[in-house]
Amino acid sequence: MYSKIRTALLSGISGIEVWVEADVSQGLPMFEMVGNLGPEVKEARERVKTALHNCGILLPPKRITVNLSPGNMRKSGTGFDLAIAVALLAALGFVEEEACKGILFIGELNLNGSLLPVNGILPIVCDAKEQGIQRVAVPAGCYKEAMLVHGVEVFAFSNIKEVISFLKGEMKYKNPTYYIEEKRTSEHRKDFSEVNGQKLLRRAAEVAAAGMHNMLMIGPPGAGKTMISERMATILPPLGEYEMLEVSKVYSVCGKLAKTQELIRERPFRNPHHTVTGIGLSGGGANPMPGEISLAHTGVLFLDEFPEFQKQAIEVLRQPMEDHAISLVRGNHSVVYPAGFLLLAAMNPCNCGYYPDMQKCRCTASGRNRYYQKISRPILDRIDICVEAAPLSYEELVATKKNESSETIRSRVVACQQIQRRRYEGEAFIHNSRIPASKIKLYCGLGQQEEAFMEKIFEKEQLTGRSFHKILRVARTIADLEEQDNIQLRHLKEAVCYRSISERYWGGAE
Amino acid sequence: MKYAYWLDNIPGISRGKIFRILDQVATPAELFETSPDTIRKLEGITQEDACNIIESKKTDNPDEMFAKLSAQGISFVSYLDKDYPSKLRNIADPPFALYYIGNLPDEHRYTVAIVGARGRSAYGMEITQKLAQELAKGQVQVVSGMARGVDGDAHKGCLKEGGATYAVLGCGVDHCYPAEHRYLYEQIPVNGGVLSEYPPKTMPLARLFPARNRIISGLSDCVVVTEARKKSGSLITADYAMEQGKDVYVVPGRITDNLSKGCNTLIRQGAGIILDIEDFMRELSIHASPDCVQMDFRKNLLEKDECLVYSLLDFCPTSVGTILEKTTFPLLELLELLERMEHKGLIAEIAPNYYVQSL
Repeated sequence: MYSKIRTALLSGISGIEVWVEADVSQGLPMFEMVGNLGPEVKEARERVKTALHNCGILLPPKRITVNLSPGNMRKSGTGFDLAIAVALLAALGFVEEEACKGILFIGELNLNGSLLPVNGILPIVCDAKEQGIQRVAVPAGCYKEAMLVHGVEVFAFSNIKEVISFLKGEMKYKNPTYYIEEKRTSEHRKDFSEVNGQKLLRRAAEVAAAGMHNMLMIGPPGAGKTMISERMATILPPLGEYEMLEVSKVYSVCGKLAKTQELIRERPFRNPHHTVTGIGLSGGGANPMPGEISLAHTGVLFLDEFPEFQKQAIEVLRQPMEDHAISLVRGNHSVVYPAGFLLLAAMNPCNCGYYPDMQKCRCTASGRNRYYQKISRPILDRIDICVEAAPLSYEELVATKKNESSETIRSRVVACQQIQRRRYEGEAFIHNSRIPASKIKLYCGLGQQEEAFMEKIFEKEQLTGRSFHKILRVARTIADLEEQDNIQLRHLKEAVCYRSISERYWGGAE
Repeated sequence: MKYAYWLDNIPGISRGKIFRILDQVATPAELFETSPDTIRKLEGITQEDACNIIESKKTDNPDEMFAKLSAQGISFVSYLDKDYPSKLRNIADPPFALYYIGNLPDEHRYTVAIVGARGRSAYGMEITQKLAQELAKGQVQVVSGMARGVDGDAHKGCLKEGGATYAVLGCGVDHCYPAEHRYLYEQIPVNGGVLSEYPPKTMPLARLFPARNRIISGLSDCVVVTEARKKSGSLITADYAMEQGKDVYVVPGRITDNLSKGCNTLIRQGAGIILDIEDFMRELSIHASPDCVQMDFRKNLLEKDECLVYSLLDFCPTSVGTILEKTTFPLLELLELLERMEHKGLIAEIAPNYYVQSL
């Protein structure tokens, strides 16, 4: 007898159509599985055999062949167990193959027959729906996650016996009775109103959010750099439906959705330690898993102690910062994870943290230069806003005055981003930070007075072409925040204030 | 002269040994002609040194060596020459020879050494440059060590006025150390000179630097320390100066400033205090130029708002963020105020968004 059951292979954040074929024929008793299988998929044979045995189903001494098709794709993951078991049952005639038609099976089996949740349910169900599947059978532990996709009928089972009786029509299907605690722990919501002082930094953060400009903060520890970064997500525009799904898929693949089984509704904030490796940032492994940059997708990637990061690790960011995605290639397959993040970096002004206060700073010019040299130049080129975080005084720290809330700032940011979206209709980019050099003249045109000012600044600050463009992009955002069509002198002046640190000051040769 | 050069370049023969040899042999030329047996009998040197001298006599050609040195543009003067700075003849442990690019200091002009910390503050930089500038205007020669920080500022200030300035290096004069002072290294010899007691190709070794300080103080009539930490190399220079009977002046500082602790310590030891540049110039009996007198009156040029911001500034760099916290000005207005004051020359932006008062 032959049967064919639908399942899916997780590749990146997409589910690829895979069929499990089972054939039972006369011959020497054996159980063989083929189809370019990874080791954990090969082990499925023992799990399925024993699980069925423990549920009272003995495999007859026949020649059993299981194939996972298409055969050219490497199969990995433990989600095939259920589909293999069902294919066997159908081939052996325990259940009707007809009953399994149009259902996608996914889940891992235990030896006692119970079903374990697997990672990546959300992307698999999502893509299955697009491929025309309307019914999915998943482990009970994944019920809520699968339910996040609208328009798909979800059947959740806690063991293989339930699956059999359901397929035989012996049991009326009941949704799992248990449920995950509905109310989320009333965790403290972070808000910009908690940030005292730091007027300049707050303003810079607003500009950064409005134009999606990457930002570098320079200041001593404890000045509030982390605090601001954590709250950055609260002033970025709320996530759209599509973005929510996309970022939730990434978390699903990592198994980070298992606890809450809810869509990620807020922009993520990722804060990797500076010992992180390049793989940790980019993602990787034999079966490539998302790294920090993908987990920060649509949100904020905060790199504290920026110069302390390994240079190789940081260089990994270059390509994703351009493409907003990262492609991980492994031998015969490649996986693409989204990686559109806002980069916030923080650093001390020098090793001891006091520069340019020479009464306290004991760093030599060459020491400062060494510290500065640790920052990756290509990444610095991609950071538009550079701002210093002044240390807070005690009064500022304990002040209870009401600061502007995230909601107010967010409304301005949203308005500003709408202006940009309208302006860049038909372009490949939607934010000021992404205006290519070739279109700077078109979108960041200057009047005569402004030209003259920039010429003066260019000479005085010994700007490069790149840093000149950065100032113009930031000025564009500042003008948009004021809903001005043209960049004016005051916008430029503020933008100049956010110009990048330069070798001239940190290089020792004054 | 070429034999003196030869003698100064024999390996293992230090200046102490050279002076001991010259007590017994009249001139280096005579030493070159002396037989090996006589050399071995010289007192005050080891047998190994004697071997080195004999070996060197065989292999080295003083004519060729000296021609090579001149070709490099390096001049040479030894203790035995009459061009040797007479001020150095009077100090304890004078150098046997000096190598220099440019000129030696003019013996008849007043000479001031300005030394101080390498990692000086913005204030130290300002005051040093200003002082050197004023001295240059008063036709005073400025001697320093071309090190980072105050030394470099002293040369820079003097060069700004086209004055004569002299750098005493702790390495061979063919080395530019530190490398970032390439500009100074090239400009100083135009009117002044770069000098060293060490032969060319001597690397900048830490142990050589304290010794050159005695030459800095020895060449000058007066030593000024503008900024120095508690344990600073500049204090070595000040010590040498006091030993050599030269005047020491310091720029006093706040007692909380680390960079003034060394200066204040010198005051306790009896150093002169520079109250202001005009006062200092008067003490040196040099006529001060009029614009250094008016320093304090420029504040009157400020408008009300500017005055407020100016009062928040210091010689310690203050960031825009800090000023923003302390005032109620919106960012843009503040930036404009700062820009205006910078234009008037009252403040300076020493690092992006960091401002100091300027002198």
